[in-house]
Amino acid sequence: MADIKCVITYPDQMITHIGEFEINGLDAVEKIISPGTLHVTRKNVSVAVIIRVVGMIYGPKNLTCEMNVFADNVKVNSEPIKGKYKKNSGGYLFNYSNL
Amino acid sequence: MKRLLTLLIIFSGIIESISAQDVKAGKDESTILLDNSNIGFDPGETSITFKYNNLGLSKTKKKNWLWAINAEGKNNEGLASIFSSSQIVPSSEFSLFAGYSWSNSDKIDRVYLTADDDILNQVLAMQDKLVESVYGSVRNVMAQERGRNFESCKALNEKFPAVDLNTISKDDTEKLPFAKLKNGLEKIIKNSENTREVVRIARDMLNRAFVNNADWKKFVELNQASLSAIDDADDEVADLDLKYWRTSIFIHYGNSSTKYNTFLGWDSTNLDNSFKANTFRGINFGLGINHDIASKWLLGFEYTYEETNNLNTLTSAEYTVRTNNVAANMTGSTELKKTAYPDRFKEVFVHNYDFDVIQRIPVGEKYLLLLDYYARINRSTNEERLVSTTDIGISSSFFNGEKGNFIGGIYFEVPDFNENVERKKPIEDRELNPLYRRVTFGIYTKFSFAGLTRNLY
Repeated sequence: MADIKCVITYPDQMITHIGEFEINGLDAVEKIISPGTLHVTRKNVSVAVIIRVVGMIYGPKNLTCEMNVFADNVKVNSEPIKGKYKKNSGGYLFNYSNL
Repeated sequence: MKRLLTLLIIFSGIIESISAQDVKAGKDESTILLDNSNIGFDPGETSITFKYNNLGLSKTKKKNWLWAINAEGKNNEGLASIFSSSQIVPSSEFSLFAGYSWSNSDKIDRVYLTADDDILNQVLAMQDKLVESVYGSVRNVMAQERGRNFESCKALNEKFPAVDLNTISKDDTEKLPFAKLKNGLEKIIKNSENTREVVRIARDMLNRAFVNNADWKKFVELNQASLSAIDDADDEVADLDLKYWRTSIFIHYGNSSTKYNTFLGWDSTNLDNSFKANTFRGINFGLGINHDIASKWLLGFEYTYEETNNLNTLTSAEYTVRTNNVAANMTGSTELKKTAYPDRFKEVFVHNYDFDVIQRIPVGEKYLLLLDYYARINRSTNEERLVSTTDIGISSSFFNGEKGNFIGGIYFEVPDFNENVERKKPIEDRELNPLYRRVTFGIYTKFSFAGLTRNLY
């Protein structure tokens, strides 16, 4: 089991709403730490097989929104994970797997 | 000293910052509530603003209460009067906002979060089998190699100190997750410092546990299918016509204060009596609504009932009073400069109706243009004291998408669209002009002290 923390950075002024996030299919806790920095966390997650993070943040196109994933404070991803803009929804989708 | 201080403030603002925080419509702010908390200085308007609200921190909630405090102090005469005569006509405004905001984001979130439910169930169902399959392959390789390459197996095992590869089982999943095992084996294979035998055993283990393992391959396929299902959920959002929206309603109350001098006419007995210092205090209150549509359009409306005055319609003048003192064949003089308005100041109540339609337009891949089509309708309750006017315009604000920084903006405006002010004048004094000759334009920017902004949150 590990404590998972996702650190998401975004242009604060332009992002209008933070949606719900799930880590390995379980509800996560979203908390804004400072303007433009969001922490998505869940404690005691089984990371034996996979780490999956899914969630949306809402805002207009052309923004840079990035996420880094930590398991027990050890960074899991090598490159920052970019939120993918979804034109029909009007937001940025984070859809990450460590496989 | 005052000039020096002003210059220091301006230049420190330029150096320090900077991210402007306002969508501006002409010379006014728009009706859109923005989630900024800052102390800002606008050299063009010679104003200092303080803003604090909970809009930024409440973004994680689907429904939430909003509150905001705005304060502004400015010199009504702008920067020029400070440099020319060190004169300040100070005014201040203070306002409180309270409101409520809600959106449909939870419905859209659900579409994405449940898009891979079927696949997730398959993944969960095969998890035990997968663990046994991967760790079983590791145990088999160790059992096969241990007899003839004991030292190499031991060296390989030491690379994974948390577990014993000979007996690895389901109980060890937390100590050696799949990603760690796979990455570890790949690193051993790539590291030229390892012996050929260790590399060969690691490669065999990697192939059997992952590369050629049918269960693992199936799992990777399912994972890919899960990623794709969530990625493609945007189409389902379109099918369900679930465009994101967020609505905020708010009420507001504020008061303003302006200090100014009026010129009463030269008093030949005592020149000091030619001027009178005055203070105006007014209140305002109203309500507003913002509606965000699909992160592309932002609609804003605000109504304000305002106790105001006609100061903006009066033209100030600069007066100089010189005093000469003669003593012992020497002459000394003192010079006093005053900015004063004609003595025609009137108070009046006004209904303000402000409309904004903001369009967000991506420019290239990194920039964002915010076009604000706006109208400011002021209906006076006393046309003799202050004429009703309607200003319409369009402003465009450029933002850098990486940090959301405001780069700059330009606006075009037709003040007093119906030329009510001119029409109020006697016919011989009227100057009615065609629309194209009444268009004004300008640039705007607003500097923020970024360091202070951080601390305010």
